[in-house]
Amino acid sequence: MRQVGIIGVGQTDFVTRRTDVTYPELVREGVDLALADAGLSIDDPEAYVIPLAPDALIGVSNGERWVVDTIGAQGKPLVRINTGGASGGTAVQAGYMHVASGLFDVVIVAGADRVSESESAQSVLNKMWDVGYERLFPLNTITMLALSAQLYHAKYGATEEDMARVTVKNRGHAALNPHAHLRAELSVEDVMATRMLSWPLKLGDLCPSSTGAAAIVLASEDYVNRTGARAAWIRGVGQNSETFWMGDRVGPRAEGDHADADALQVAIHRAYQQAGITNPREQVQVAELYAPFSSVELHAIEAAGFCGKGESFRRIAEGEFALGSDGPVVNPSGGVICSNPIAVTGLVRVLEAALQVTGRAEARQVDGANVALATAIGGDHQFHAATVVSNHLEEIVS
Amino acid sequence: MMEPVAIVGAYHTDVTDAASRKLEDLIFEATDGALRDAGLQIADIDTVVLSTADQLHGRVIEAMVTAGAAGAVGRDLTSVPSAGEHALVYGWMRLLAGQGRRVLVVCWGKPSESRDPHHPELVSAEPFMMRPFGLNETIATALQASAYTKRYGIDPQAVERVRQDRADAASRYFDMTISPTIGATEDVGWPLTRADLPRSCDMAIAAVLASGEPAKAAEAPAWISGMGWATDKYDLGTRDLSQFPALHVAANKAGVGTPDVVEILEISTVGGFAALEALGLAESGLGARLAGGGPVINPSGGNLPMHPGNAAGFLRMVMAAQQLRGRAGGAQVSPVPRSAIGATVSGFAGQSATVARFTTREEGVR
Repeated sequence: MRQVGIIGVGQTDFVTRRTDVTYPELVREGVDLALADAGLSIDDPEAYVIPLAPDALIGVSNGERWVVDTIGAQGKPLVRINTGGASGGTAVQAGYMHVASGLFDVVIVAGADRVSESESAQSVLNKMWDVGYERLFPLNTITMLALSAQLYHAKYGATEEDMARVTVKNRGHAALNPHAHLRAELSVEDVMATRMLSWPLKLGDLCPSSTGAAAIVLASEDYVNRTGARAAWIRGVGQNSETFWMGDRVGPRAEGDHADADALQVAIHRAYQQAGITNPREQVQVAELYAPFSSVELHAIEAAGFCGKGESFRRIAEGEFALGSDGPVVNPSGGVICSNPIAVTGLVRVLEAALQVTGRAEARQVDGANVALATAIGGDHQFHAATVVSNHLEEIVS
Repeated sequence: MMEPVAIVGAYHTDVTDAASRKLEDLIFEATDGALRDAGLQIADIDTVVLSTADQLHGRVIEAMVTAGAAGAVGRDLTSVPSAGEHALVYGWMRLLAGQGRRVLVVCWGKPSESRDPHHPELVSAEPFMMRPFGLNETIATALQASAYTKRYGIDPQAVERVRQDRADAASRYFDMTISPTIGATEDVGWPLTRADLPRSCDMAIAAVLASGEPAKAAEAPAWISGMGWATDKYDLGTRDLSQFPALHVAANKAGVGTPDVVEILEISTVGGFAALEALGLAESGLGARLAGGGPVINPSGGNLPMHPGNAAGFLRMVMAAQQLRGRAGGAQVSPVPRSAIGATVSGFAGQSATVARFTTREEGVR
């Protein structure tokens, strides 16, 4: 198979609101940053992949058509990807396919989100559910994942303080990341004192609604060799889907367990398999795991194979998975809990992973990061994408 | 080394009772039908690719509620909502990349879910200039037709002939009576009447793509020998609406050649003329004269009589492939054609375009 490298990345600072740019202008900011990083011009990409999740969040249907003129895509191939919150991760994999297929040498994956354009993101996201029952319930992403957190707590004995320690770790990381939206450090007590939204999830356990842009430039191995471009290599990709119905994730006839992240685990396993990773705790030094809520990071760490099921919160309490700890570091950027520009959140995970393995993550750099995992989750914890990147094309060893 | 990809199974649902059926039921029927046509089971599928249309169907992240009906639980799933035909492009590309051997592509359109399909179209317009102006698909299509008419003129008899030909062909294929004159006196935007525009229908469509041995071993594969897709600028004021430059780019990339059959998406009767010209099948301004000796155009009637929303372009692709597989039912061209083109446009006045070239013989990948 043709090898694919990430040769340029760009991300804006993530903030609550931008009133100085339109959606296309915001996408252009990410494109310009990534092209500059790759040493390319606006004319160089041969094809475009645009991640864009619910149209209603930016208030324009098929917004990918609107950006064409602004990013110089006219006359060229362009597709849009939407797997909800996983869109950015899926779009990177779509970009990967563009190059791995042999059809293109240089492809850009670029997008943006302006979650603040919608009066209430949760009102928009409530429309994800079926018209007749769940929409009226009323489910939204907070209540849906509160159910998961309750099950995790009941199954493994985790507490609200255990979730708070995830936020504390990630806020500490975000303080080192100039692009992160929420950068103020918090204590467990600070998180525990925040407003309860849907038990056991409190405001301090949740991601913000972010606005910003991100882009990455992908290139073929031939191109990298020809130009001498610096590359982070995509070594493995995997996706998986879970049942839409949360009622099918609980009870004796459940297809999955809403407490765990079994479907994510399958997606990660597929990516590991392609990358040749058999012992992730030893072979992966850093992971950017898509976890919009503190509770999600607990089972995502377990799905990544960094510890057994029900163990992650105890290990976090012992200081594992934080910058400076032994073993894999999880979300050194601060993760989704500190910045969530939905359409590109999964893309930022891959982008940060690429920065880590190329030693360009500045204050949030993980020492000795050669192999990184990036994940994304979309829908009602339904669509899962996993990408493994490394700074070499050799066999991945411990 | 890229291994060629073929469509080895396909199915679309009936239109007669679709509006009264649940979307998930339509999707499941199409999925099951395509798998049966390919002689496969869902366990044989590596990847599922959908194309969703959230606004039209009133569901945010429509892939969520539809993924199960399309057999995607436990599988790799991607939705490519930029156009139904882009789901075919992406499925094809994944197989070229060596990611699996079989991909299931499922698209649907259920405009009846929307009380007024033109309203969500209005939200497709950017909010500063176009939306206050009231731009929707109908107005954009009329602007395209007016630009073409102003530049080349239009023969009213040619327009009537297209209406009649498409209605007759669709009547044969769908085994129902379709009148070419409904709406012929209702002006919708100069120079078009309601009879010049696509008529919405509800339909789910699925196709199975395969590469390598599974493709070679398939019964009647339709090989994808060329594929091109491109986008034009968004702003209508910066485009020459009398032409479809994106379609021209896509056609050049796919390699149109001298096909036996063309299944082409016509945004209007007049727009169809411009589309045939963009494909290189007629000189500029002479698309209306394309008759006799050339390829058979839209033997299934095309999308003017039956337009399943976001899936209309994908249906053109599938119908082109079905011709080569000898499985086009009442639309089958005889003898079975050896090459066919599926050509589509989407977005306001055909901003985006995709062209696929299908052949009965494996010809490699262009």
